Amino acid sequence: MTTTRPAGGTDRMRQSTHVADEPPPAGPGEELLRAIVEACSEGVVLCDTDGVVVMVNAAAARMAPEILPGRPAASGRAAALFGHDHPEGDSREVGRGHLRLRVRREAFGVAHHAWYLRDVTAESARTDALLAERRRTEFLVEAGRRLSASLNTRRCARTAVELAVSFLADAAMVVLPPTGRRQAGWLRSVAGQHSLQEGAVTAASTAQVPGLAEALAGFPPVPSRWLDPGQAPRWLLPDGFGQAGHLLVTPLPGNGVPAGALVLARREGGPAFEEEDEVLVRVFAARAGAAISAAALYQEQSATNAILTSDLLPPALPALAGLELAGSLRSAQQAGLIGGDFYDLYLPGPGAAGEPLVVLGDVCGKGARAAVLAGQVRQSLRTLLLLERRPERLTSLLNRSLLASPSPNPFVTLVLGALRTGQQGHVLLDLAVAGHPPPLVLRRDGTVQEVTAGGSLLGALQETVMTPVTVDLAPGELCLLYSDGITEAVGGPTGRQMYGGQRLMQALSTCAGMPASAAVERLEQISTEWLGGDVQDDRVLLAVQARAAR
Amino acid sequence: MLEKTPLRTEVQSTAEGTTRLVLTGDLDYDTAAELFTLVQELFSPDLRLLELDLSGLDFVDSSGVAALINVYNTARTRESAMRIIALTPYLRHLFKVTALDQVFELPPV
Repeated sequence: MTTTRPAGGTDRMRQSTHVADEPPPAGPGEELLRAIVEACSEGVVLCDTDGVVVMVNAAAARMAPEILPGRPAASGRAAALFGHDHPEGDSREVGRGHLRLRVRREAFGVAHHAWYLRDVTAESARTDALLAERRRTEFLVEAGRRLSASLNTRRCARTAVELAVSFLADAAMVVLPPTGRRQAGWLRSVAGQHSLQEGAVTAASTAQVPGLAEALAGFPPVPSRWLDPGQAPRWLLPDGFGQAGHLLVTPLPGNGVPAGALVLARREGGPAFEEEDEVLVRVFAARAGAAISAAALYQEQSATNAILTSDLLPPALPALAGLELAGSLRSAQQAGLIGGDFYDLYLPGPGAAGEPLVVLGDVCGKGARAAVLAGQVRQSLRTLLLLERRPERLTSLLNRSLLASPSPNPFVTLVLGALRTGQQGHVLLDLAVAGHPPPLVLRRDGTVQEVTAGGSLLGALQETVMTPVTVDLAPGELCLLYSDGITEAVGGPTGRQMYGGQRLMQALSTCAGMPASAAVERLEQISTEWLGGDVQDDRVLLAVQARAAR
Repeated sequence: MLEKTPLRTEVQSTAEGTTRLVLTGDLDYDTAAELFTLVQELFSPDLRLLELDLSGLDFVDSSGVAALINVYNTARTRESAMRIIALTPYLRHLFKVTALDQVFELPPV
């Protein structure tokens, strides 16, 4: 690979020639050796067999001035440096005031041994700083991992105080921003105690803690040494904690607004918060604040969703004269999306004329918009019912109301049914079907018929067509309203078949003689089995049954 | 969950002032907006007739129907027309249920 000879080879040749030609030069004299040892940057302490110092060089005298020739090396302060049990050749480190010395022992013949001293203060300071930095990084990594594990503000705040007492302080408290009631909630943890303390203070009380009101308002943190721990109010520190020696108040930055503040306390006599600590606390607070504010946002959104879905919640179905009602609504809630299926029951007010009215509908789309639209439809119907109770007229009015709606696609399909009691326990159902799968009627003998009513979907076209129909239910007979989530459910033995209207009709025919609630439960079960655990769309069923003769 | 097929669209110019749009795949909640965006681009002052071939659509949900209604309404405001030239039995049933068969121009059975 290469043609150059190694330098060592040449040296060896020259050396051997040299040795062969000339006698070796005389060794250095004692003075020269002494000067060489004296000039050495390492400290050298030469001792005799009894451990009495024979010679000390300048470097050793600088590091340990009390070592003097003629006295035992391991005497006085220097005893800590020179242990009898120090193994020869090994080095160990010894702290000495602000210095850190590395000590090594070497034996020379039987009569002498020497101690070598090296000042490693700067070196070990660098190592310590590196290790501390590594511990801080590990702490922050751990903090990031644990803080991101929850989307609940209280749990995030709890994690933050637990992390803080594990690494940063003797006691840690997260104060959350004051809520509408002007109360600021707090969580606190104390090192060595497993229990979490919780409480709330008035917003005014937060002003008692130096820097806290400012931190809650999002001002930059005040350096710890400026805060007088003596001013801390009693509620800030746990009972039995004693006097706080050092206090650090840091804002928890959130999404543009503060997510709260972190209060750290160290006991009197403990280490103060150095600048490095404060930087670390600020980085930690940034992570904790981000986690807490993300959780707060999420909770707000969940609360909003809960309010929106409450518009979709089905009403209680009370017992009505001569008829039974039963309903089932299984929301898809797919990927957090709210579906737009609903059913509702409208009863005439006390003393008011008119029949009960049922509705089952499906609004276009998913998510918050669908939920709002479904809520609008239900409320519009409630209002329209004050003026009009004929189903086909109601659908036409609802269509006009939806066309005027600011929603981009206010399309709704629904079935409206006005319930009248007829002769001999019969129930008459005046049905308007607007763009919706027509209801099914289960007769006493188990035959199932599809209602012939039909009409346009609502909210899309200026003019709607509507063919209403009145269904006559004998006692025990049942009319089933459903959404397309039932018939369009894809599953079955192959996992790819659509359930379809035919299967629903067959399943319904097996429900003859059952009370409405049992029939709905059975159909819901069959549908769930068809889906095999899959959730695709909202599925709604609503059954109206003329009460069976006893 | 059943694997979804994307919506594929093909635009053909069949005659002067007539554009044919062939849709295949799923027209549903996830893809309805694509159709609407595409149609907005197709409508020009020269377009007199938009023909829709829906025979390749595997699945249409309420959002898909909404998209078709939007196309229909857009055509009317642009003084143009929309005609469905081919569709599946399932879609014909869907249009019947929603009474859109009385609004949309459909091919004879």
